[in-house]
Amino acid sequence: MSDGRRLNPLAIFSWVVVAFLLLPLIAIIPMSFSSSSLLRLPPPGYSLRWYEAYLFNSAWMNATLNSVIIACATSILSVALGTATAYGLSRTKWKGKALLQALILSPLLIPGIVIAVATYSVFSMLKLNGTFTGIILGHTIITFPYTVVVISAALERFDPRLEQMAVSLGATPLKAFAFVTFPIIRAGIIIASLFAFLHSFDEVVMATFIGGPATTTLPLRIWDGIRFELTPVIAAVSSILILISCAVIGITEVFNHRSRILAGEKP
Amino acid sequence: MNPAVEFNNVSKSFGNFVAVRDFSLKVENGQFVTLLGSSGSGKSTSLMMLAGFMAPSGGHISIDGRDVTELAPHKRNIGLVYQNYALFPHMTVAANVGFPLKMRHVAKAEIARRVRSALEKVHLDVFADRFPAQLSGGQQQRVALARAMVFEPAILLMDEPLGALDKNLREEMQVEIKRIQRDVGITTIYVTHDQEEAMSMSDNVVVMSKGQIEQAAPPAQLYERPRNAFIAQFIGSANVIPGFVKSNEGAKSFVSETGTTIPLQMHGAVEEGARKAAIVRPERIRFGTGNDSLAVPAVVESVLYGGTMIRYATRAGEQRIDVVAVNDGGAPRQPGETVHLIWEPKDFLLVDATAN
Ligand SMILES: Nc1ncnc2c1ncn2[C@@H]1O[C@H](COP(=O)(O)OP(=O)(O)O)[C@@H](O)[C@H]1O
Ligand SMILES: [Mg+2]
Repeated sequence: MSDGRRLNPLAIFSWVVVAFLLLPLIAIIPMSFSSSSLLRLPPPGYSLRWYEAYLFNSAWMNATLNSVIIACATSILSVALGTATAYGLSRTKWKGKALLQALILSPLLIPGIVIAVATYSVFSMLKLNGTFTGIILGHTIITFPYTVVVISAALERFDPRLEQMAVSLGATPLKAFAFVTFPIIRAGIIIASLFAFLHSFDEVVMATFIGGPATTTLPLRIWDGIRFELTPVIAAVSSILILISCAVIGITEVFNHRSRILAGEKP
Repeated sequence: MNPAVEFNNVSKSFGNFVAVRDFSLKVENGQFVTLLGSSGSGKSTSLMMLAGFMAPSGGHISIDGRDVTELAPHKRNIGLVYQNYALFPHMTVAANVGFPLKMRHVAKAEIARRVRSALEKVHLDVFADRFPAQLSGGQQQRVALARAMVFEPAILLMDEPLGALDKNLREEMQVEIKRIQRDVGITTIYVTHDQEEAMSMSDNVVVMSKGQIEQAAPPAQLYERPRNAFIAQFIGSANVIPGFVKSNEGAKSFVSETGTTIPLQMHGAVEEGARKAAIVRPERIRFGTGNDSLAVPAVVESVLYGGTMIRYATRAGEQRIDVVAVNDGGAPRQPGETVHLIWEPKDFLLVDATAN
């Protein structure tokens, strides 16, 4: 019994690191309930005035709406492309396949700012800078490799003979995908879409380069806020963002668990 | 009437490797035909070509007289059962069995009725609302069988369907599959590497080796009249004695490569001198006396007491000959004892020494 309770130095170290990483996030939350207009810890008193300031300010609300629209569109687009790509890669075998795979994943290794600059210069020719389409495409460039990775992993666990069986039972290839493959890899697809949503919702660099005044996203608005009007409204917005992230990660875990159960049933 | 299935000189290569070569086979309506062969002999490849998941490199396949070589798999109307069941894990048993009917746009009420009757046939009607993971291996395989037959396909294909089950369950399922197949009268092509399974279930057994058919015949013929030494050894056990026929003053005899002479009493022409293999099944050999003119003297080397059967390894000169005798309650022969081996002339076969 005492064995299990002995203090493990590695565990202690890990918890210290986790605490160090989380502390700033946790410190933000009390500041957001401050009654003072200064970012101070501990707050002199508590109130909801900064949440109110956020909710009733049209600039903040516009930025929030922009972010939601862009994140939703990015999520849908990158999952549609990611599913098709992952499916195609998993169902074929040919020589340059490994090269194509490496190419698809390469944006993961390139610094975000490089991708942003490159995208900016191409989009300026296409007149996409400053448009929603531009930011959505820009974000999709970043999130697409992630969705391919996540959905490929789900397909890896999927037994292709199930799809073959569906076809032999009379399903057209499209129906076999819709009724058999998709429901089984659905958890992976949902995880990928949540991930793309979150990534787009948080993204700053690409949005700075591609975006214009009409497309200001929430993170950009926060950035401006920090520079020009340092008030606890930022703490309030940040707290809301933290809450959303936690919720999304929680949902992801649920689906992860579910996909593992389905995979476990694969004989 | 057209054969239910016909393979016409079908072959399949993967790169330079030929997995199936010159495969020709006719399966009549309602027949139960088994492809039997060791792992890698091309059984699954042949089946997949019939199901439409692999395109033949050469030759033609027809179903009921219609060339289907180019037909898409979902239009072939073939029921398929795999070793790993391939049940859809996210659907209930009823939804799994109803799937092929749903794909054929059968009305809902009709689907429910046919699913129920299909599940009754495999005695699983009470499990309709369970998921596959909640069933045992044998039950899952019966669901797979129900699903493969519920849409009344023209042909049923089964690729080692019992491979994952333990021995008792496998024997039980063999009987059950055979019963259902006979009730429904569906043309069935079955794949296995288990020769007992093939022999006990099939109307016809197709023995395959290295992508080719060695012999296709009903089980009894395969056992009694193997075409070559490979078949004789593959089906049951056999003494395979390589050698040649010699004629001496009108009396013919077989001389084994090990130098043992075995007198022959055979009708018909026997090619002299050609390299042959003599086949004699251990259970067809009896112990006679030295008075028998055709008896082969031998010495008992070892005795394996097996209850019902007693297995002897004997040596006639340098040639080893195994004998299986029914345990009739008498004292078994002892190692070192001299015996006289006799058999009916019909049980001593001369076949090709080599396979195809
Ligand atoms: N897709 C494939 N690519 C390359 N070789 C294959 C492929 N499918 C089967 N083979 C080869 O063809 C041979 C026959 O395989 P298979 O028909 O599965 O044998 P069996 O079912 O009799 O065990 C094997 O040697 C196997 O390795
Ligand atoms: Mg096989």
